[in-house]
Amino acid sequence: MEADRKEVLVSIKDLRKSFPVQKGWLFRTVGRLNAVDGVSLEIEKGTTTALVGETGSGKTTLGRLVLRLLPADSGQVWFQGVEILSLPPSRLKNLRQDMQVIFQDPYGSLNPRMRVGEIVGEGLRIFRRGSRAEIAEKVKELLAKVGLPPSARELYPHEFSGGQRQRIGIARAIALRPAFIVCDEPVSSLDVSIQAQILNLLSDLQEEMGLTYLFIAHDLSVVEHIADRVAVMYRGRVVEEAVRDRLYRQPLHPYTRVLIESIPVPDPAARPPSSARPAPDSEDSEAGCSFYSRCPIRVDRCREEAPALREVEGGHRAACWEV
Amino acid sequence: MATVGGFLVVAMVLAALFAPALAPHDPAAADPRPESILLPPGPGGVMGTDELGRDLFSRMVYGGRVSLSVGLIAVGISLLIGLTVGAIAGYFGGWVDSALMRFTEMVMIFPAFYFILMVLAFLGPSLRNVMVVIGIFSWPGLCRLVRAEFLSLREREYVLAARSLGAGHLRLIRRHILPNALAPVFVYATLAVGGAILVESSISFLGLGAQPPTASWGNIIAAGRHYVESAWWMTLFPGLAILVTVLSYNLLGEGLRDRLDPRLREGRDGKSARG
Repeated sequence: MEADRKEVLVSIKDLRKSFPVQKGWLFRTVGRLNAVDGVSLEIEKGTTTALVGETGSGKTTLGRLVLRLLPADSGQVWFQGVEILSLPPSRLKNLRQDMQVIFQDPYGSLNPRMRVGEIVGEGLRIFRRGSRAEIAEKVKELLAKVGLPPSARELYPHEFSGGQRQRIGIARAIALRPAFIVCDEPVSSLDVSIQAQILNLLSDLQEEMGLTYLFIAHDLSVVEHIADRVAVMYRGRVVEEAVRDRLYRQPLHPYTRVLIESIPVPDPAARPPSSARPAPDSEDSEAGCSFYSRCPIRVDRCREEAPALREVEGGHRAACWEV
Repeated sequence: MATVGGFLVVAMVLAALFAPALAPHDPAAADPRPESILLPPGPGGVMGTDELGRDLFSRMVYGGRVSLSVGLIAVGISLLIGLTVGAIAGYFGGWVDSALMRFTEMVMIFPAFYFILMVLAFLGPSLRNVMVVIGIFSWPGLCRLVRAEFLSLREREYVLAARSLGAGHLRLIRRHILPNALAPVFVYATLAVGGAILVESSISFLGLGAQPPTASWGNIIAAGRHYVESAWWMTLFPGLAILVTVLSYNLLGEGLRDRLDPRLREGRDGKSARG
């Protein structure tokens, strides 16, 4: 397993971000929500690492921290051998050409007052990649690459369907020929029939351009066919991380098992019952494991002490006392 | 109703633009012979004459010009300040936002109208001063509106996407945030023109605005109030003009709001309302 490890493109070290929790009419800060609570992760070049977790697990925040679209509280992000969180703005701007993002909402991620040609060509204009005519030509190529006609340039985003808009967002993301793209639930708001098309498009582009993806999703079913490695997030922490096949076949963390059980199965009779406790039946203690209240295999130690993410065997990491 | 308002606004703008062609007489040409002063509406003039024998209709048309230019220029100044301060506060947030908003609130809590009168008393009455002073005291509402729009728009995914493409502050503001913040600003500005016209009329009525012989609806009423019993036309027509003008701008503004605000547009076209 260790032998065929490739070059690491992105390396995240103990990344943290918390948001103030405000209450009352004066909006006093009553506490802090640890959205990303000490995450370390390595992403290999040319692969897809899936980041899976439920709503509020901090996966979107993590994606934005890695691209420095949000300022982190502490930690490091190494990209192509450069630590980007401490980079001065002038050097950060240059680095932006190499890392891009694709968003979930195909409605909110395109400026409604810009034509598609302007949207897709904006990066090329910012970095002055050619004359006006050359950029127009490149935009046509990009649109063709994502399966849109050249005439799309003249139209506004609202004239397209959800799937087509997502293609526009992808064209914008690949325009500068980046090395790394954070895909933030790119298919979650699309019809199932469209999802496969977009996933295939992303795979084709990865192969063609040698892209590295951090693919964020809220369940394991979507990423089953495209991920090389999968990291499962729960309440701001990575609780399990492994090569895809291992994670699906031998999940270690009880939360990962819950996620696998919740993958839709065509036969309703074959559906296994969920192993999770139905609802939190006790308050989570500050010190203990954050999954304690829902955990089917918890022991007393879990309430006292949070388990750290540790390597169980051959590149398979999990954060649980019981594995 | 918005259409009616829009129609009236356009009509008044045209009347102001073509005032020289529309007015049958020089608005300042006095004819103080006893037989030509305070004539009621009739063949001599559709709105009669004033206490100096000037044609009231001509004075009304030129007064409209004053009202419109004060309204537009005052709101223009207010837009300039409000957009700049609001955009900076909303875009940068944090302590910049706090500092600018405390300053805005300070301007806001001044009893603006009395303050305007005070400033005009110091600077001396003139139309130019009126425009500037109204503009300087009417921007806080607009500023807060712009700030709120910027605060919410800067978190939009298309703004994040532009940032990840390496767009600088200026490009983000000019290309991505401002164009999407303009609709409510436009509505507010339309309503503000009506408000500014009302303030100008009040100031001119009190004698601190347009100075005779320049005609303004406010100072026509001021002159006419001495003759309310004998020459009702001198107060009725300018009063009606102010009422109809302010009403038209308000109707137009409300109509624009209904059209432009996606939150009020639900059910009409869900998809494009989201974008």
